Amino acid sequence: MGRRAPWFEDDQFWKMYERAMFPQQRIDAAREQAGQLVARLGLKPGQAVLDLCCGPGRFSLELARRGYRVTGVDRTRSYLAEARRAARREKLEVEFVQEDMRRFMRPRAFDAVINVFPSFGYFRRQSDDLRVCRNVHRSMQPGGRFLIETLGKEGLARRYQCRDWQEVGGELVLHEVVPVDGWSALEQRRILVRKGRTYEFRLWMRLYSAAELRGLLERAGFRSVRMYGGYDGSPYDSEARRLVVVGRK
Amino acid sequence: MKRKTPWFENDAFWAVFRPSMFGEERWQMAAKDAEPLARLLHLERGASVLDLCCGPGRFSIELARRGFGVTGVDRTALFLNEARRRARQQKLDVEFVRSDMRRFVRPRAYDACINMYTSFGYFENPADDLKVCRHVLQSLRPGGRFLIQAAGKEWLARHFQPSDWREMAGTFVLEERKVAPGWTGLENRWVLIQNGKVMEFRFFLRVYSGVELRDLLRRAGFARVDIHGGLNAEPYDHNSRWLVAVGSKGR
Repeated sequence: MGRRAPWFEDDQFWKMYERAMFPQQRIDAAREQAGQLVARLGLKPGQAVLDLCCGPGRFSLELARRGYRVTGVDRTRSYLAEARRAARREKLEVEFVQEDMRRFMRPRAFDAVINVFPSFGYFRRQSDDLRVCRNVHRSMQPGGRFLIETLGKEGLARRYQCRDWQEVGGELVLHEVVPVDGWSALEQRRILVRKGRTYEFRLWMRLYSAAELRGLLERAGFRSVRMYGGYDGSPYDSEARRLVVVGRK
Repeated sequence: MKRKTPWFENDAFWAVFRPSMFGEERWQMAAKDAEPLARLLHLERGASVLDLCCGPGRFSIELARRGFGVTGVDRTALFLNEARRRARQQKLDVEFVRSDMRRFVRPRAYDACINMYTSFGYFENPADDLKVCRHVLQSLRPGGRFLIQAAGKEWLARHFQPSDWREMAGTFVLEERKVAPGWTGLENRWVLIQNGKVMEFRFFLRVYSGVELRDLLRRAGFARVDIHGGLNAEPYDHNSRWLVAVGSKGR
């Protein structure tokens, strides 16, 4: 019996949404955010960083520009191809690896690991999320930090709107978001209108509150897990726009 | 060493807010809620129910009226006096016990336990919340159910307002809230203005998401936990006013 591929294994989705997900201003913002990221991770010059679910590599590239040794991992070939092209253009040495985050593991190879921009909670089985965190834990040097940046359950509830749409580069992007299973996950419907054609995708993501994500990291073996409302280290409270959780090995 | 008295052990707080917490409409609501509550708890005729943090007995009395054997537990003597008076007036036989929810245990004495209206998350130490759940589990018979009704973290976030106020029969109740870092709780400041007199109280409330409350009950040993968005077993989602968790003890 063939299993139905989950939404995040649909290459067409990532390709179609690349422009909407990574507009220039987001890429530019990464340059500034990288400095804050480095501070949260307590990185020292030249240390090794793993960018798990690196996409087209906006953080991988920026961290490489700042002199860190970077490995970017993603499952989407076209993003990696683009990331490699950009690295070559700037003569940056970055390693890009195509792999599923549930499988990638390199014992004690990294001083820090990041997973940013809602790239967490894709798997239907929560044990897979835990497995990812355990892989990360094993891939890190003692004392290293793991940073996850995602949409927190509280922040999402605070600004919840069932339907919204945007215009990105002349294209219309529609989303519908519904919390399901007692707010433990989100079902998303995304519609993209491109050149007179409509494409529809359905996504599912597990939603974590700050305390839930902290609990998961602790179960994976991380210590002194901190919760922030952004890369800048602001508190995760009623004004926070995102959830940033940092755990220490 | 003298420990600081926690806010919920301050009788003046409950006395002062009694009218605004338990107004007439809340009693009527309890009368309406009792039916779905009994259904959700699978209460059979004559079942025994523990009403943990019963206050002046809104649910205790409603359930007793329906023929269930009820024990109401609360730490506030003032509320228990009112509850006893009301039960007497209606010739209902309800047992009211003054005790702290962290200490009350009666092994296998109840078919169900309820904790209503956000009477959970008061303790400074989170381990105390777990202790309460474990005591409830002990106090239940096999197959018994524990229902917690609370303002869920998701609802609180969705409707968060840093400050607002209410007016009730010439009394003003001003509320100010701050989210504790990590959204683990709310720092509350309540100001009551009555006949020109201003009284101020501060308290911390630990708040739970649906998943967090489910996990807590599981950790306490409940065999099964269901999360609902209300007493009619609605789904817990963006339309829910309440978080209702029902834990079932194994058989």
